[in-house]
Amino acid sequence: MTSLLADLGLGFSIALTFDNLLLCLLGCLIGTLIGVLPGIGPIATISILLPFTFGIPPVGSMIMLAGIYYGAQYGGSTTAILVRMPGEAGSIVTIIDGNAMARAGRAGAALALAALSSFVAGCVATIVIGTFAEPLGQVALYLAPEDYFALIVLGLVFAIVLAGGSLLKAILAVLFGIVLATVGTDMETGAQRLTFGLPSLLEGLNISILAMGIFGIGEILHNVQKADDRPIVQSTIGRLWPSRDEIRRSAGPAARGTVIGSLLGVLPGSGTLLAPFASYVMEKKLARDPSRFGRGAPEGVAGPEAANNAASQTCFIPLLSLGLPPNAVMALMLGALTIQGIVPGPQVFTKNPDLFWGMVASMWIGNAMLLVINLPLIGIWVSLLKVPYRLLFPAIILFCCIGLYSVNRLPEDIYFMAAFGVVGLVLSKLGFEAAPLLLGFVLGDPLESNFRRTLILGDGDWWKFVSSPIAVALLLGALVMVLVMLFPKVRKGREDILVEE
Amino acid sequence: MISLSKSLAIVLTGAIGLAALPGTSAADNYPSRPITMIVPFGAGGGTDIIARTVSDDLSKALGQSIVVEARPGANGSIGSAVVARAAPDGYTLLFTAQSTYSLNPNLMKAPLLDQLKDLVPVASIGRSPWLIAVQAESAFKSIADVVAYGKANPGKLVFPFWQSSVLVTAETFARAGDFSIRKAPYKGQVEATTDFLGGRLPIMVTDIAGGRAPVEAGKMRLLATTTAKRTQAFPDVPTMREQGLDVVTDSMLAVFAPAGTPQPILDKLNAELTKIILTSDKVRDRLRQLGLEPTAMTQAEADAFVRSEMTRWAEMIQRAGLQKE
Repeated sequence: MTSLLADLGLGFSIALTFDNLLLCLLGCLIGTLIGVLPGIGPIATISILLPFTFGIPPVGSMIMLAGIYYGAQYGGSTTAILVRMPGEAGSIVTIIDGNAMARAGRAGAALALAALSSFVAGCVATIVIGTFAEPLGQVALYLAPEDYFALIVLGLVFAIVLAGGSLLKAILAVLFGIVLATVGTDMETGAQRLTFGLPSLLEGLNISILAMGIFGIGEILHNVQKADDRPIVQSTIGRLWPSRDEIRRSAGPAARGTVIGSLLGVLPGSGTLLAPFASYVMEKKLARDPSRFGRGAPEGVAGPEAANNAASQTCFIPLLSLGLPPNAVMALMLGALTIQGIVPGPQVFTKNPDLFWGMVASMWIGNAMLLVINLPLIGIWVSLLKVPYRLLFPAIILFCCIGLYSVNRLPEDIYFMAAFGVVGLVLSKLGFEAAPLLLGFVLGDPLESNFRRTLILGDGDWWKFVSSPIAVALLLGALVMVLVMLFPKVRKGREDILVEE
Repeated sequence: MISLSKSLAIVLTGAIGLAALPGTSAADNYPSRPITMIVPFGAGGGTDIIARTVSDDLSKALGQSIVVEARPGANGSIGSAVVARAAPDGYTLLFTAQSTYSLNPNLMKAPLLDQLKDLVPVASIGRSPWLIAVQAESAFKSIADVVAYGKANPGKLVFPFWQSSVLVTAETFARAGDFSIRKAPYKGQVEATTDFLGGRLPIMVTDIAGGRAPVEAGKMRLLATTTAKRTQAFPDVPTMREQGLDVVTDSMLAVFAPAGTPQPILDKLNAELTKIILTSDKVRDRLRQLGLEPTAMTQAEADAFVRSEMTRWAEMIQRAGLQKE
């Protein structure tokens, strides 16, 4: 304990220097900005800014780049809540209840809850990194492809659970998402799948194209059809701040979301994306009245936002403790460190304690800065909702197009976004929900690669899928959830099912 | 502090430059806008790190920012195809390893690009050796141990691969030692290293850039290098030849441009890259640290090299018994 305090003391002494505070603030500001702007995300921003950080000392550059990453998670929820547009992939779930709250005149409360639960989660995750970085890093190494496969199967079942309407439609939406994920070039053979000979599809579909098309543009098409020109929020906007009841309801979900996010964030690949979905499903299952979800339940905002932010910080653990980046943004961070002559790995704690603890301390400071940046902005954001829709929607489309085009400079990306807007409209007319589709898309790629890897490492043995206790537990969990959904009466006989298995 | 505020100013300029749209360009004022350097492998991997190191210096020499973008997939074919289809104006370049330009054309039934017709070499960067690695606690103490185990347990040895030269190295090793292996595809070296360090893969082929951290942390041991002579980075690690197997499969990193890029632009890029590789102590030190022997060629030499290597690898792949897929 005393050594932790001493280490944190060292960290704060580094993070609180004038230069590093400035870099932290700059990172958080850029992060918030790109989080709010749809299309352009942390990967593109950090790749572009990376060369400019070479002149800054390693600690400072990591503090700034990290600020961009978790700042983007803060900003991403803003557009999700206000205009049903996920600013970042991590804020897809926030749309469901966050936007419903905004429509009910509680946009300010939703934004405040998102910021507050992100702040709480960020603070806790900082302590988690400082305390458990080494053991949690080992967890990421210990899990085998069959464990990840089982985890992803469970995630896909979550996708079905979180859908509100027909079960069959939810399953179809997930499957459609998985099919969309297979578009592109086969990893092993280089064969082209569902590319229809289009070169721009060789790398597969981009999550931001899909999310902006189906959610953002689809929603706009839907609204424009109604041919009325009233602002999104017809009722009075009401109090900006959450009521005591809303805060009370959000405390538990934020705490649980923080735990889920901290754990899933460590896992390579889809952990950070899975965390908010897992938190949402958990809150819906725990709620006394699940029917409130999807209609503006504050729990559905606080939980996923906390999970999302906690995961975006704990995903630094495998990078710093093992030198193995769990996602593309962390891989860029690895590049940034290597270019500075630092080899991330188990030695980082002993060889570069200033870097490790300086970053940990800066994360706490950054979260406080983000709260200070975001809370005063809420009033401005909410007033946007009073803008007549005929003025608002062209602006949203314009920002989408600029954001998307700036990433790859490919006009095709804009066409695809427009096409998926039509798909989104058709799907919503037919009663399909977009969130399960997007989760299917996000998990489709790791589902396939871990499925193939399990079989290859197991030399074609199908029993390999149930060869580890973790995989068995996760698959059984998925099975039970499916059975509970299919036969609501089975709920009471859950123990019997487990025995039979 | 001065250097910091300067850096901050550059960062801000860069952030504003995000929205910069392509303007008109001509060879004589090249480069007049930021250049995109595509790496066809995962971000954070060996090639990506080296590309970023060299691009940093190249960017200063050219007075334009260079955005390094990782576009992994299909053994590097996808990123290469992106560059092959880009406008031949010098603003989209490819920073790649030997596997994409010498191996993929010989391994793929339907390549995504015609290497010799669609791309033109700009300059060479350096040679990178492949190393045969096992976990620290592995029972394998030498290449002979691996061969003996492979012969006694056919099909038990699984190699991860994420680019064709890793695949050919593993297959050539198995051919030379006369044992059979299985291969597991990965999207990048990082994913493969995760499963390797987690104990699910008994052996792997790694480059020095990606292998240094686990070796220094005592998690990985190196059994051999695939260079003709021992590598400077790990002088204690014997070559495959020293251990009786004729396996020489190093990888030359090189920069390419879309075919049709004006010769003055190619010459300018070659001159700047050659100068960096031969004279920049920072780049040379970093290349060596990452396991590369800095190697410069003129644009014509690079072109001849790419053509002759195409034939050499075709023969090696045939000897390894690999079929086109």
